[in-house]
Amino acid sequence: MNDNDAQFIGKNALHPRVVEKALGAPIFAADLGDGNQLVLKARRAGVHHAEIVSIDTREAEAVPGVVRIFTSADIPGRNAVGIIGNNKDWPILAVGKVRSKADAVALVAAETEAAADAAVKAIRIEWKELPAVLDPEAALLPDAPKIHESGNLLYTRLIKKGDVEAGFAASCHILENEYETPMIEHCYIETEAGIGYFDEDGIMTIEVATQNTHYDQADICAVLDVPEEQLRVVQAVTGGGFGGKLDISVHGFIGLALLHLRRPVRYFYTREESFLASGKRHGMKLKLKTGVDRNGKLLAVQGRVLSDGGAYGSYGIAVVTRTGVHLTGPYECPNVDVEVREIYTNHPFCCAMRGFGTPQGALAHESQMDMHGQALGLDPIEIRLRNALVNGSEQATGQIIHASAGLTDCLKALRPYYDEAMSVWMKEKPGRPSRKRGVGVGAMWYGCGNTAAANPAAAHIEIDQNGQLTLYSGAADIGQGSTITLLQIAAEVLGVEPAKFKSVIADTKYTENAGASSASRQTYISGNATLQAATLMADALLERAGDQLQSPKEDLALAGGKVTLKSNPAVGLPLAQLAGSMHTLGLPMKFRGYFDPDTTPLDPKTGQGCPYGTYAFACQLVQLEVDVLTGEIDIHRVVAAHDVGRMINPANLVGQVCGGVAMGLGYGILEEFAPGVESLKDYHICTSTDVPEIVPILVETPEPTGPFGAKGIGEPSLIPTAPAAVNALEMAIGERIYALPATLERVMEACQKAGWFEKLEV
Amino acid sequence: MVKMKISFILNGRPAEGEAVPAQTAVSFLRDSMDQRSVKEGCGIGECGACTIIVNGLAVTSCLMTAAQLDGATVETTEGLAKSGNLHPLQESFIQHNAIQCGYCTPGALMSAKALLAENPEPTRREIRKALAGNLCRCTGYQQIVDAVEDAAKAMRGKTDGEGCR
Amino acid sequence: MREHIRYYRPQSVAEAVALLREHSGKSAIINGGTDVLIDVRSGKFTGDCLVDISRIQEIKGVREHDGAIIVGAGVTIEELATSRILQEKLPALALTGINFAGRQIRNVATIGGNVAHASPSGDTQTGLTVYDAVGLVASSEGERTIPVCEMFKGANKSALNDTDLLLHFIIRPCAAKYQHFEKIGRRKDLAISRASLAVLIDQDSDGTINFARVSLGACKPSTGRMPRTEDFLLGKNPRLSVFREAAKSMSAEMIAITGRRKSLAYKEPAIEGLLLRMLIPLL
Repeated sequence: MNDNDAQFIGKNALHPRVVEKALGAPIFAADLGDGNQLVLKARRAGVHHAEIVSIDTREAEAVPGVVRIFTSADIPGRNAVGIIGNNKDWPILAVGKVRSKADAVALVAAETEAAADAAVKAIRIEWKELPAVLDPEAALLPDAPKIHESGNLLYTRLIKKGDVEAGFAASCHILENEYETPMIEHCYIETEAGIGYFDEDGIMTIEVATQNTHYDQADICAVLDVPEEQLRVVQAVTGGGFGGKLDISVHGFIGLALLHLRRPVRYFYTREESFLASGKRHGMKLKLKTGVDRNGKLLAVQGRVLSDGGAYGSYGIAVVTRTGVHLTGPYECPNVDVEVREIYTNHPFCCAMRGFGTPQGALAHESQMDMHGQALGLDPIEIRLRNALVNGSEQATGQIIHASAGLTDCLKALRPYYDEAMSVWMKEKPGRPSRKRGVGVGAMWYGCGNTAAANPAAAHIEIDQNGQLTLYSGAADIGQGSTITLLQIAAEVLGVEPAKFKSVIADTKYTENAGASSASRQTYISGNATLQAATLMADALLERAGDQLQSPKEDLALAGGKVTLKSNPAVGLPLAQLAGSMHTLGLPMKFRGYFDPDTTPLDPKTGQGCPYGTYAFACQLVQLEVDVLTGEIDIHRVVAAHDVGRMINPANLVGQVCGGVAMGLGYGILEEFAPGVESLKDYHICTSTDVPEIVPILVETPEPTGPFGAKGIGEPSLIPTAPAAVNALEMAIGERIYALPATLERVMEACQKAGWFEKLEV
Repeated sequence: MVKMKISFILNGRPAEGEAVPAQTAVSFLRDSMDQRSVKEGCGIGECGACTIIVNGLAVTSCLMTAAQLDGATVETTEGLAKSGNLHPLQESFIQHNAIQCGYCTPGALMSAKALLAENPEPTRREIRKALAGNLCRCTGYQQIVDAVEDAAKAMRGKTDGEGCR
Repeated sequence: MREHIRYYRPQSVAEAVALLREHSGKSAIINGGTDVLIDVRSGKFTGDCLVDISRIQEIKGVREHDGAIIVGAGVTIEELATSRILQEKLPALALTGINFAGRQIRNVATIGGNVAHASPSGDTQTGLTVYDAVGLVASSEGERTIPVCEMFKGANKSALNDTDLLLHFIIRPCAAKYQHFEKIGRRKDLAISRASLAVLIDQDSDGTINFARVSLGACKPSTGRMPRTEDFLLGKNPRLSVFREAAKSMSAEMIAITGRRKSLAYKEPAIEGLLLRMLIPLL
C-alpha cells in the first residue's frame, strides 16, 4: 500500500477519551468511587537500612476511625514482587529489615484521611540501624554490608565483539572519558493512585494508574495467593507513566485490604509520597574509551558502567542490558568490549524510565563522537554520517540490521538546520555581551520492544450482529495515544473510521496480555497483533460478502463501512448486514491477532544475539545561549528528526517528540533526584518558558516487520536531547561538561574554567 | 471541628457547601462540590493542576482555603462547556493534540481562559508565560501553545482558517 | 490536620490587630496563603488559628502620597509587576514581580507576605531594600515604622512580632537614571532565586558614578544593601575593569557576612557575574 492509498494511516485521528479529558471528567483513579471507600496509607521506613526489632501497632489501632493495620504477617502469599521474572526481591510490606527509606513496614486502613494519617504516625517501630550503602562503588567492596542476601552485585551484562585492543591499536584518535548521570524522577503530573472494589460479578478489582495490567494481576495474585480469575486489574485513565507506573505501587496495598476487609478502598499518593516511594531513573557512572581511524570511522568501543539500582531490582537487569547493547551509539563498530553492572544500594529503587538505560549511555557516546569530530575537523553531522548504522550493518551484538536504518535520513534532514544555525544564527550578536551561543547535535538508536526476550502481545477485534466493531487490547494507554494508533491500524484494514470503533483497553477481565506499555513497543507489537486480528476479521467479512455477492474475495474491498465490488463500488453490503448473517450462521465474530518480535537471547559471556525486531533512529539539534557570567542557559530551538518507520498518527508523533524533547532538556540541564529532594519545590522540571519552539521532523523508512511499516517513538524522542544540549554548551563555553544535569553550578564551573569573567569583552 | 458555610458563585450559579475553614479549596471543590476536574498534583502550588479561576484570576486552589471561596466567583473546567457545546479552548486543545494524559489539562484550560480574558491576542511568548505555572510532563507544551493561540483566534471571531499545523 | 484550625476574616485593620493580640502565639496571618498553607500542609504550622486579612481594603493598592509611593502590604505580586506607578517610579521593585513563581501564585501572593516570611530568597525584599523602603506596622500598641532592612533577623526569621500587622511600605522614588533588578533561578519561571540583585546608579554628564545603591538577595541570611560595593562604585568612571573590581568587591563583602560555605562555590562567581552583567549597560 502506498501513502496515497491509505485512508486512516498517516492521518490524524482523535483519541477516544480525549473529549472526556477536555471536559475534566472524573476518569482518573483519584476521581473514582463514591467517597465512602476506606483510606489506605503506608507507614514507610524513613531510614536507609535497618533491622526491624519490633512493630507496635496498638496505639495506632486505637485511633478513632482506624479499621485495621496490616503488617507482613497478613500477606498470605509470596511477599515479593518484581517485573523481571527471576528477580522478585521487593516485599509489599517489609519482613525483618528495610533497605530504603521508602520501604513500607505497615499499612493502615481507616475511615478517613485524617485517621489514616494519625495512625501512620502512631505506629511504633523499633529499629536496629545498619550501615547504609549509598555509593555503588562502595557497595562492591568486599566488606560492604549486604543489602540482599545474594550480595550487592545484581547483574553484569557483557557485550564483546572483535578485538578492542587491535581496534585501538589501529586508531588514530583515541578518547577515554568518564561521565556521570543522575537519578531522576518520572514526575508524571498524576501521582500513583488506585481504588479497590468488588465488581458486578463479585470479583476483587483493582482500578489503578498503570502501564501493565496483566503484570500487576500476576504479581498481586501471587502476593494474595489467589488464582487469576479472582483478581481483576483495570487500568484507570492514567496521568502519565514514562516507566514509573510499571512497578507495583498502590496495587499490593489495595489487594491486601480488599482480601481481608472485603470493603471498597482507595489509595492516592501525595506528591511527597510519590517522590519518596516511586522508582527513579538509574544514576550511572560510565567510562568510555573510543578510537577512530583518520576518516573518523569508529574502530573500537570499550565501556565500563556502574549503575546504581537502589534497593530493589525492578527492571534493572533489563535497563543495564539495554545500556550495554546501545553503548556504541547508532554506529558501526567492529570491536566492542562493554561491561555494565547493576548494583544494589540503599537508595530508592530504580526502575524503567523513558529510554531504559539508553539516555545514560547516549551522553557518553555522543560526547565522544563530537570530540572525535572536532579532533579530525569533521562537523558533528559529517562524523555521524560516516559511522551511521545503515541497512546491512552489523551492530554490537552481531545482529544485522536488514531494513529501516533511518539515521542517515535523519542526519540529512537535520543538515540544513545545522548549516543555517552555524552560518546565520551563530553569526548574530546575542542580546547581551555575556551571552554566548552554541549548537549541538545528538543522535540515538533504540531497539523497539523488550531486550532479547519474548514479549508478545495479543489483540482481538469483534463485530456484533449490528456491525459494531470493538477492539480489545491489553495495551495500557498512558496518554501517549496507543489506543488511537491501534484503532487506526484496524480502521485501515477494515475500511471503517476509527471513531466508529469501540475499544476495551487494559482490563484483565476482557483483554488478553499485551505486555507493558514500555520499551516503545506497543505501536510495533500490539500494532502488529491488531493488524493480524483486523486482517482475519476482514477476511471473514469478505468471505461472507463474497458468498452473498457471488463474487470472489479478491474482487471485493472494505471501505466506508461496507464491502463493495472493486469494479463497481456502488454495489456493496453494509457491515451490519454481513455481521447479521454471520451471527445467524453461527460464524466466528471475534478474531485474535498475536505478534512476538523475532529475537534471540544474548549470550551471557559475549552478549551476541538478536535483541530486537527493529530499531528506531533519531538525531536532534539544540541551539542555546549561555550567560557565561552566571551559568544560566536559554534554549533557543530544538530540531528533532525522528525515523518512525511509517507515520500512523502524525499529531501523536509530534506530541511524543515535543514531550520527549522537553523531558530530555530537563534531564540535560535541570533534573536531579538528590538527597533532600522531597517535592516539586526542590525538583525542577521544565516549564513552558524553559522549552523552546521545537521543530519536529518525521522521517519515514518503512520497517518491513512493522504494522504498515511503523516503529516506536515514545522513548527515542528523549534520548538525543541531553547530549545535544551538552555538545551545544561545549561550543558556547569552550569547556565540556561530563556530568548531568548541566546545572547552574556545573555551567558556572565550566565558564570559570574557560575564564569568561576575566576575558569577556563588550 | 466547626464547619463553615461557604456561599459562592460556581460556574455562574449560586452554590453552597460546608467546609472546614482551613481545608484547601481543592479538597472542598472536589469532595463537597463534585468539581473533580480540579486535580491535586503537588499540594504546594508548584504544578498548577489545581488551577481554578477566582474573581477572574487564575489561582492554585491547593494554596487557598475553602473559606476564601466564600463570596467569590469561581470557575472550574466543569463550567467551560455550555449546553453540550465545548468551549473554544477545549475544542482547540482537542484539535491540536494538546492533551496527552490529560491530568494537567483542566488546570491549563483555566490559566488559558484567564489569559484570554485579559489579553485576547497573546503572543506565543505571552501564552508560555501565562502557562508557566501549569506543569505538563507529556506534551512539551508546544501543542498546548498552538491550541491556546488558535483558540484566541477563534474567540476573536476571525479565524484565518489556516490553524497552526 | 486542619480540622482544629479556627478561621477569622477581619474586615478592618483594627479588627485584625485585636484578633492577633487575642491569639498571640498560636495564630498565623494569611493573605494569599502561598506560604502559610504550605506550612499547614507540612505540619510546620503548629498554631490553631488563621487570621485571613485578604479582605481588608486598607492594606491594598499603590498610591502616591506626599512625594512617596505607598505600597499596601496586600498588594499582590502581579499588581506589583504591572502597576504603572511602580514601573515608572520604582522600576527595580516592579521588576521583582515579573519572574516570581507562576501567574497563579503572583495573583494572590502579596508583597507583605513575602517580606513578613523573611525568606532569604524573597525577591521583593531586594527591590524594597534598594530603595530604603520603610514598613508601617500596626499592633495593639499602635502603629510604628520599621525600615524593611531591619525586618529580618535571619533566614526565615522575621523581626516582626506575631501580633504585628504589616500595613504598607513607604518608598521614596529615586532619581537615578539606571534602576534595575535581576535574579538567577534554576529555570526561567517558578524558580526560587539563587541570587537576586537590585541596582540604582546615577552618573554625571561625564559618566562618573555619583550615586550607587546595590542590594543583594538570596545570598546571605537577610537581604539588604551592600555599602562597601556602593562606596567602591561612587566616583568611578564606567570601565569593564572597574566593574570587574566592583563585582569582586561585592563577593568579598558577601563572604565577610556569610563566611565560606559550600554553596559559595556557585554564588561567589555568580553574583560577581550578575553584577558585572547588570553594570555593562553603563559602559
